[in-house]
Amino acid sequence: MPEVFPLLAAFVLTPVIGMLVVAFVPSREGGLLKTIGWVIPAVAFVFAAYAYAHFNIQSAEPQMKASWPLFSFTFPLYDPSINAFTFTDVSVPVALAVDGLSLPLVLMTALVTFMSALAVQSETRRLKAFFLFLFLLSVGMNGVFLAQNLIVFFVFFELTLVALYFLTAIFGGFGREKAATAFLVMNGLGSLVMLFVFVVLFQLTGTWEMRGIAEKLPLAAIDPTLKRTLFWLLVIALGVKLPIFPLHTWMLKVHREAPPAVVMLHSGVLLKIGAYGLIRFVLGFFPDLMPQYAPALALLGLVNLLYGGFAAFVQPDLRRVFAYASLSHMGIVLFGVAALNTYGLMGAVFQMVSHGLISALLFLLLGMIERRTGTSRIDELGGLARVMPTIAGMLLFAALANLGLPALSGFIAEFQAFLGLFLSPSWPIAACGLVGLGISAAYMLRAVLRTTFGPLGAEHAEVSDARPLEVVPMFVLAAAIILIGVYPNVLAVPLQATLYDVLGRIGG
Amino acid sequence: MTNAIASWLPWAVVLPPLVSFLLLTALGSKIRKAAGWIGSLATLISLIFAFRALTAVSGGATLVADPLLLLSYGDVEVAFGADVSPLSAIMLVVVAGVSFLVHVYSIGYMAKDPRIAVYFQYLSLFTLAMLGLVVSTNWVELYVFWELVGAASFLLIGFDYMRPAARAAAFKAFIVTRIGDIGLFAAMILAFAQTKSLAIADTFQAVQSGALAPNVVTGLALLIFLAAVGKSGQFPLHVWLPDAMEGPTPVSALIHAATMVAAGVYLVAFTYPIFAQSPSAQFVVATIGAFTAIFAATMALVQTDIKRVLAYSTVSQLGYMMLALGAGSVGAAIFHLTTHAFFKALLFLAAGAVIHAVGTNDITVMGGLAKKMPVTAAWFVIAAAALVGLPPLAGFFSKDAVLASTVPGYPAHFTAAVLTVLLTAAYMGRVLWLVFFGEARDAGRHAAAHEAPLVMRAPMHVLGVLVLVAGAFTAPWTGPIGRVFGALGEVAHAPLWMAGLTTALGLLGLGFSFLCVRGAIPCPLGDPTRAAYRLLEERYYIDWFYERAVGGAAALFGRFAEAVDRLVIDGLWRGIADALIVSGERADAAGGGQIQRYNAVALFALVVMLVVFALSMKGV
Repeated sequence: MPEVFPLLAAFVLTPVIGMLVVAFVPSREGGLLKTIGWVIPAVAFVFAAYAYAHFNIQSAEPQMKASWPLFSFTFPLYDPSINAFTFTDVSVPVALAVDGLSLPLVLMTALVTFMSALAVQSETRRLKAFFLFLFLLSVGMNGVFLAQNLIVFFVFFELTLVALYFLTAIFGGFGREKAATAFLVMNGLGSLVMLFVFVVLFQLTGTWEMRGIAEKLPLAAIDPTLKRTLFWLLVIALGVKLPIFPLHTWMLKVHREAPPAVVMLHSGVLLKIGAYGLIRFVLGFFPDLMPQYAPALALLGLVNLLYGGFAAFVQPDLRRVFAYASLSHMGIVLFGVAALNTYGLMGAVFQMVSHGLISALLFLLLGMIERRTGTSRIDELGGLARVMPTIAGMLLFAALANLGLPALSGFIAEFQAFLGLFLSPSWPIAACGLVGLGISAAYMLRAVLRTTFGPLGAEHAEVSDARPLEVVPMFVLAAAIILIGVYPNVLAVPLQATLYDVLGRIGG
Repeated sequence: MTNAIASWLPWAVVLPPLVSFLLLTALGSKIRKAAGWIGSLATLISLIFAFRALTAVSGGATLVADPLLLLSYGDVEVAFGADVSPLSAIMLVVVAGVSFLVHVYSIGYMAKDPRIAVYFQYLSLFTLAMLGLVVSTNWVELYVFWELVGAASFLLIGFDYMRPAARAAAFKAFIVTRIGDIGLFAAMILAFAQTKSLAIADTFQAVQSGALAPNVVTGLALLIFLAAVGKSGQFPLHVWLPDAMEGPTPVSALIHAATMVAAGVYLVAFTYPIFAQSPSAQFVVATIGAFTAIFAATMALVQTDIKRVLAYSTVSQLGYMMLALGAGSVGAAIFHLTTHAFFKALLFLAAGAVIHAVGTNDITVMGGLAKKMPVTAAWFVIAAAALVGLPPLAGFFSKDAVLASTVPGYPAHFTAAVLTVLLTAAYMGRVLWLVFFGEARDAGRHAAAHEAPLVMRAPMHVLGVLVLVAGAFTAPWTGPIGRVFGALGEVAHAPLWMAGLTTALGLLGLGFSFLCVRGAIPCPLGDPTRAAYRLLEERYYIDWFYERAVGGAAALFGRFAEAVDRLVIDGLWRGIADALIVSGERADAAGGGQIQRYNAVALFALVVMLVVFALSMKGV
């Protein structure tokens, strides 16, 4: 990789360029806006793919570093050796880098963003504003997995919040305002808690650098109660995003109201920030506390898994089925993290990527169905395989992927997460979780078979199947799901070094 | 592993259906007419390679192909290997053979279906998964193909997707077998936890060397058996198989009679090194098998759908195979699996020809079809006689081998198995007399009935010949076939009294059902209002119980979760949100812009930041 070309900066800045370009395009130029809308994410995807191709799989260190000074300030820090405060210059650069944990997420983000931009092609209302916010969201998503210090992470994280708020509030369904508000209040509170923890972490370690904190915090002499409090506050802050029961109700509302292309990104990428934070911060900063609290996290995972699963089984609306399914699948991520071994962590990251792809595919198809039939209610649909065989066939494929059919990505993720948890002290929780394998099949097939199989309603007899352009994102996402499912080493190889590094710190 | 021979043959068997699956997926409806021939050709190539593999291993050797490494880190190594042992060679030939014949038959049977390309695409997927399952060397590989087999079965059951009954049957099949599959999922994890390896051979080695605790071995065996119970329709997970008859009839022949449902039997036979170390697991297998054999046979007595009679019969016969496995005879189980694949596939194909001709599954409106379809009738009668176990047909030898294997040590199981012979003869006799003999009950349908076209008759001829000769497969003079069965271990030979007893019971059942159908004697199950009849008709109320109790409980949990969400959690958060908005509006009273709610939170955050900074400065 040539050092002269700041690849990661280019990746993050590409959507910024997109925003600038869109800003100068008159809003009546719908066609041009749409073209820009998919070209920019395509360029970003090429950068991400380039990063994957040049990633050094041997190294656990962050790679392809790019850094610019943002600001610096002088801050008093307590120095125990002289029992006094010393003033320290703290610089906060915009530091980006990629390691084995961020690489799969960056790639998945770039792919899902690209595909959702293609899915927007049928959108007609206020395109200019839409793409402005979409690119803003994209900036946040591209940056959040690459940020090397907490301030930069937080800035990117907040960008996604702002962008998603507007995308939901302006472009959503009938209940969009309520949904956007619920989203903002709960995520705002989560951000608040997160920021509080970050500030205290800075207080304790004197640095905003993630790696610096990860190295210093376990060794620092800190009041155990404070440390435990920080641990759980961080779990709560990230638990809003993941989401963890009972912090999940905002997520259902966004899933129900936001436009499908946005939900693709929300369910596919944004939820993963919570999962990423769990590994990067909770596990990365508190490796010494993890063994003690892992069973509790596993238990939260079990609640997510079963609660989401059973709730999804009775939902009358496809959107809500998929939303609860997301909740359920995030339980698998918690399983993987709580396992505290390579298998589990591998499973958690696989699940993040896999669910990102599958969820994006589900909502892509849902958007196409909604646009054609005007509804996502299961009882108003049925027999769609007759009039839209491609869409219905892909929906069945996505459902099978989501319920963990082997040779597709969801299975290998679930398998590793379960394997990890079974090999940990929390194995009884994993045993209870096996029920989830049955219930996920039941809710996915119930919803999808009622939609695509059975007699066709007369009101939908005239709807059309996918157009050639619409087929592209479907097949690309499906191909990625099959690739990971059939050849999981495509993810596991770049992940290994970083995961071993993360795990090496546990208990020590 | 003794006598391992490096070979590319195992992959050569698996690859052709993969190619045809990909081809049919890519080309789809553009090649409607060619789809059937592509699929048939692929399975024929597989069959030829499978035969070559069979001759290569008939001396007891194992073919080992290069594995594909798909996932590797630490102890985890998911390498898709392909081995062919004598056991798997038999299974490969049976699967590829029946699959080929069913492919050819389907060209005629599905000719008028607009989605014929999709049908053959699914059929190729099934064949691929089934062959892959048989050659698996790694637990994950085994599980992958095991589930893909189930998925292909699910897709084919629901092939006629517009019919709610087909949809419900597909759903039921997937969910019920999935419950069993969780057992295999857990077994695979348990095996890894104990041996730190996902290679099946490592598990066998650990079990045989005594490295695993006895209760771990039993647990492993029972988890594997749970999966087998699901796939092979054994009690209490038998409920999906009769409903699976909603699929096209050739699919019923291939998947739900000859091969996939036998995969459970194959799985237990394949993992027998584990079962062999656990007498209690063996006893469970034998007991479930014997019970299922007689239990399913009783339900077959009252069915009026010809395919459902055959479906319950399949469940019952699979019970026989499980019984033989439990009693310790892999040879008898696989022998019966093979002959059953032939005669049951033939029964289904013949039944398909009948359904094709008269346009209904209901045996009570058929009658006298032997005159109209003599070839079909002749093969059906021969296959039915093989199922009943009359000499010298294939079923006679294999069934007696199963019965003979239970004689040492399993008297109760033996009794149940012998009684099943009588029941089998009774329900098959009832079908025979109702469908092919006597008077036509529906003159219109009878007049329109005709013999099936050659493309459908030819596979029936091949199967028919196999039904006539397969009884000799364990005899040494059959060459490689005999040797390969011999490599599975000694197959017990039934003593003469047993052969006489089962033959007499078979004839008794046939005669009894003949008299019943003619009305010459009062039939014990002739009156639909009787409690016994109702009980069998309602399938012992087991399906009803599952739907109400298990399905109802899941829905109840779901409604509860949703209510908690709506009433408790949402209410809580709405309270917090309202409080925030009120405070936000106050703080933002001067502004009043559109994004005030966001401002509210941002401001709140800023305040907290300032407080924290202020607190931290205090010490200076």
